[in-house]
Amino acid sequence: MVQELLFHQAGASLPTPALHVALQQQPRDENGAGRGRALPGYQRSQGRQDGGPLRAQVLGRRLGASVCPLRVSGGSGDVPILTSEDNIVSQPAKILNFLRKQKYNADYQLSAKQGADTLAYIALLEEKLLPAVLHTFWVENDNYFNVTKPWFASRIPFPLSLILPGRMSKRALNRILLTKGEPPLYHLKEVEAQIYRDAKECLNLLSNRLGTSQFFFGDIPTTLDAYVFGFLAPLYKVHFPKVQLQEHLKQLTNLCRFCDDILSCYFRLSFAGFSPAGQDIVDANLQKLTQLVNKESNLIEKMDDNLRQSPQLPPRKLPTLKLTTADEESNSFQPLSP
Amino acid sequence: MSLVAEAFASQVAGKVPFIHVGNQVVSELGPIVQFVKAKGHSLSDGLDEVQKAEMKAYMELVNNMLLTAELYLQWCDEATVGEITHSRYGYPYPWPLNHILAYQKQWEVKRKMKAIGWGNKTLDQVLEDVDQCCQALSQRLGTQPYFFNKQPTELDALVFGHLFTILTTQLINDELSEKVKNYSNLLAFCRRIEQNYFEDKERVPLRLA
Repeated sequence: MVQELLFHQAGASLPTPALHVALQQQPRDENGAGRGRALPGYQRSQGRQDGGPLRAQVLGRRLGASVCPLRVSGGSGDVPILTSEDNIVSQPAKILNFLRKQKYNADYQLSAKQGADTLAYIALLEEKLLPAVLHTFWVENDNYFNVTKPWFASRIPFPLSLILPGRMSKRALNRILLTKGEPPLYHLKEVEAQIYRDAKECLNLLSNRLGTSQFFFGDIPTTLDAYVFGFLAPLYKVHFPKVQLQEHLKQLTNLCRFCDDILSCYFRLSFAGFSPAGQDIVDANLQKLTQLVNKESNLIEKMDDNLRQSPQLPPRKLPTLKLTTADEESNSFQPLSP
Repeated sequence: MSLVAEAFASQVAGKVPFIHVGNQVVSELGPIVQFVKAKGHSLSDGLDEVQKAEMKAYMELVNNMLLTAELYLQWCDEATVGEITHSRYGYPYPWPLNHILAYQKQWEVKRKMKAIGWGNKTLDQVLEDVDQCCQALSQRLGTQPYFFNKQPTELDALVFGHLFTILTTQLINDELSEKVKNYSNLLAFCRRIEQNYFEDKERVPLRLA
């Protein structure tokens, strides 16, 4: 599962982030008409489709690391990936361990029992919600061909874009059938009914557990919040043709509020519709403009100075001064002519 | 019931655990719980919504971690497979069926492991996961007699079933049971349930040497 750590404020101090979170940026799909817009920086996962990259990005934001667009990583083909100096850590469990060793831990303040609860709820998510999410994204034909496949294929370079989405779809179907398709459920339709029922029940349980509090364990986000967000946010925001699970989720208002809160807190820049790369470009332009304006104002100041200095010269030099003044003026005017 | 008859019945049901009531056979924990509930008995009636959610979450944790670890150890660890599992699984069947079915089951389990991402795990990683799971259960149990204080629930039954099996099954290496034995409150929990509910002498007593 994707892991992401929301950095705990009061815990460890934040050193200069040598952590450079390498993630893949999702540019806006031209034909998609903002399909991805509501969900900033949705990363495609070449490995397993499980919301991990989103969590990793939230982690990156929290740590203040720069999020840069990544070329297709030829290496392990696994996302999310955390690149820190020379280390490349690729799977969620390993990323979490790595960050813990660096003394970043979002569960610092939880009691032992709450830590145990976290594990239990994560297991619940994996067992009950994940099959249905996989199905919605990768197996349901309408959704897959209209949304998921073009979305992912648009970011993968040409030869792989024909192969990888298909492979991920098959892997998802495989997983669903092997874990859920045991007798007496033999047909995919029956399995579908069962997994959606389980997923809806799971969403209800999560909603009951969240209640009216802001995060699952009080006011501070923890690993469990990251996990839940990673699962729910794509489900909530992506526009699908077939939406039964999404409809159910939208009825659970506290979960929707939870997603929106996290999106606005941690994805503020992107939420307005800019990808961080776009924001960088805007910043660069702004910088250039500022420099130009500064140069112009420097020139104008120099001109002012020259003008002010000229009358202060002694009067007997006036005749020559006039010339020089004129010269000076003409000289000082020169930069302005081109 | 003799071992052969049990094995036969389990094949009919398809899955263990199963109960045989009158002429009905109900298999697997979920359906059994629902069957018993339909007859008017339920262990988790006294829990509120949040507690029921917690109970379900912990049951999934046990299924996810302990069950998968048990399957891994039985079918993906070559030493155990060769010495114990093949002969145990193929016992009720005549040759060559015993070999064929055992290999088929092993292939199925390995495929499932690969699909959920456990295919590349080493034995040490699996044992670490089991340890984490036991730690979570131990922390949840704390000093209470049962997971939800006074009354046992389905979660207690599930946990007992898994832990008892782990503790009493002889395998080649005892690392799995050692991991469980590290947590004294879990051991006390198993003992307590065994004494309260399985008083008859036929049961293999819990040897905690």
